[in-house]
Amino acid sequence: MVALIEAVEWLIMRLGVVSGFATLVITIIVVVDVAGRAIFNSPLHSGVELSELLLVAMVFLGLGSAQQSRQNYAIDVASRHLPQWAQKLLELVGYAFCLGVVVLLAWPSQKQAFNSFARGEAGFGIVAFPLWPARFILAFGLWVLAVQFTCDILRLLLGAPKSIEPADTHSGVGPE
Amino acid sequence: MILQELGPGLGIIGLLLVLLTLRIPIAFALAGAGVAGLVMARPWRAVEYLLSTFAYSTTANFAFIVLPLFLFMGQMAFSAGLSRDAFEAGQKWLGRIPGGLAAATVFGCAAFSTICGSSVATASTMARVAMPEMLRQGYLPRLAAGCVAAGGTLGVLIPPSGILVVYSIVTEVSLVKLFVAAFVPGIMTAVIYIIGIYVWVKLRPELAPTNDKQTAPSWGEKFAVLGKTWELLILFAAVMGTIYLGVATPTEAAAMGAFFSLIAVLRRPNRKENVLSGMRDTGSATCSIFALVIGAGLFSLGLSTTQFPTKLAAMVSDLNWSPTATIIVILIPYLILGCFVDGLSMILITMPIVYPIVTQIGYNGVLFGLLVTKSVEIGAITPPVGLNAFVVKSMAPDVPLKEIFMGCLPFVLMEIFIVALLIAFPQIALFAVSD
Repeated sequence: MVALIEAVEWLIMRLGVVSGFATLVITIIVVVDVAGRAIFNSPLHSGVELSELLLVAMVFLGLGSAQQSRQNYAIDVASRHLPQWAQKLLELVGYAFCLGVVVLLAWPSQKQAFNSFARGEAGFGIVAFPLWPARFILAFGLWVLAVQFTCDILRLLLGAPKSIEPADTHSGVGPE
Repeated sequence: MILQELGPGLGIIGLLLVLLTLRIPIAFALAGAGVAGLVMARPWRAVEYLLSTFAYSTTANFAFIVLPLFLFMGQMAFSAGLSRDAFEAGQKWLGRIPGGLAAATVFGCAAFSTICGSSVATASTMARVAMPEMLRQGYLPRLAAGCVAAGGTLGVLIPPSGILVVYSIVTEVSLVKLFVAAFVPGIMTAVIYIIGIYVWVKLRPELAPTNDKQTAPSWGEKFAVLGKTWELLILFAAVMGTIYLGVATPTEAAAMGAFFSLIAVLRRPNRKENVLSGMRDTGSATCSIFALVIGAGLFSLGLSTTQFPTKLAAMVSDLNWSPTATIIVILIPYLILGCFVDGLSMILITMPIVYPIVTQIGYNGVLFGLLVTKSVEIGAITPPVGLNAFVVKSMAPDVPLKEIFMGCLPFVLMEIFIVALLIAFPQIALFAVSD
């Protein structure tokens, strides 16, 4: 069982890498767009729409790996002094709650994605850029996050916690 | 009567507080409380439709691309070690005054902050560069740690600032105006820090060694070291210069900044590792921030269906307090909560409740953004969870945490003085911003 969880988590982490790579692609698209407009008076067609699609991919494909690395902020001022068993219980309740919230978002988003595909939803820009791929990526990312929370719950129940990479291996660059 | 009117909204806020106390991650606690509010007020089909489109409409916005691009730029600037050049320049120009290295550290933080929007990254990079040098030259750990931790807070005030970007997303206040308005208060903060260090060392000379034996650098050396900061200057010109001159949108400027800082990393050793880890950390930070933004959006929607924010805003307005008095009362909880909750989360949790009051009393949203940013950053250098103090501690494990917080104390007082100055003289920030 733990081996299966580890395999699933490995896949989720790879999606996180894809999410990070989107940053580089967005940078290049916007720079080419700006340079094209400034130098050749010719912006990159669909650059804006493609960047938006990549932003959606970046955010939602990386949600699972962000959760796996415990990047989601929580306030533990009140709970950190509780005994070990109570902290474990809170953790379990927390994962179950988060799973519920994510499923509540994922299910309607998935329905919306199929609906968007069926009616060929597209943006109103110069080029009719299809919007359904972004909606599918979004729903897929939310389901991946739900799977990650399921893995977290199973790990807790099986007593096989995941070792988290120490925070000081990176700069901690965030908006804080 | 008041309770009856505000009851449903208070119920949602109460639910949020319970969830936060149970250590539910903030993004999901906000979303859960918001969905509960929506379900109470609307039929399920309407809620389901809203949930099916909300995450997409909150994320798929070209203007929001600015956030990962600025994060990536800060990450690359960090990896390229651009802070070292800024510190060296500060050392040559300010090294001879009492507490000169500490002043140079603040100068380095301010210069690095013009290309990095993160307080933690600024404190972290400067702790690596300046702390060992200050301790080696005989500075007391209190001053060395205090100036690094406090200098780090310049990262979120001097544009580009990650917190101001998030504030702009949740309140829809113009990011350009926020960046233009934040520049002078940011530089003013750095100058006040440097003056404060000078006075502190004059009052307590044991804090820093005297510089009598050192040879003063020549003017040639001083200008030569400025030349070494050319990458910083190019980045500043490409990003903040183009925004201030109005030739680029923040998104375009951020992309140029990310691109140039990427080139700075590619010119140095370990380029592959640095770029890969930069992309990974940027992706990860972007995901957790957008999870918070979506959660805060749902919470705001859930709360607004009860009309709580508008009713509360009307009640506060009926008190007939002056806008300044109201803003001071609003800011005090930020100062207290900042000791326990990180600034970004605090802004996202509170804005749905507080911002309608700010607009109702006619207070300037740009100035309020700066005041809130200042207030929450004070939390980064106060116990028990001052993030920057812990960053310094992780870089200098031998310095006791108590010493670090004691070193931060004078800077906390200076920060409160600056907040008071901004409230009393808003034109310091707003002179360049039209209504």
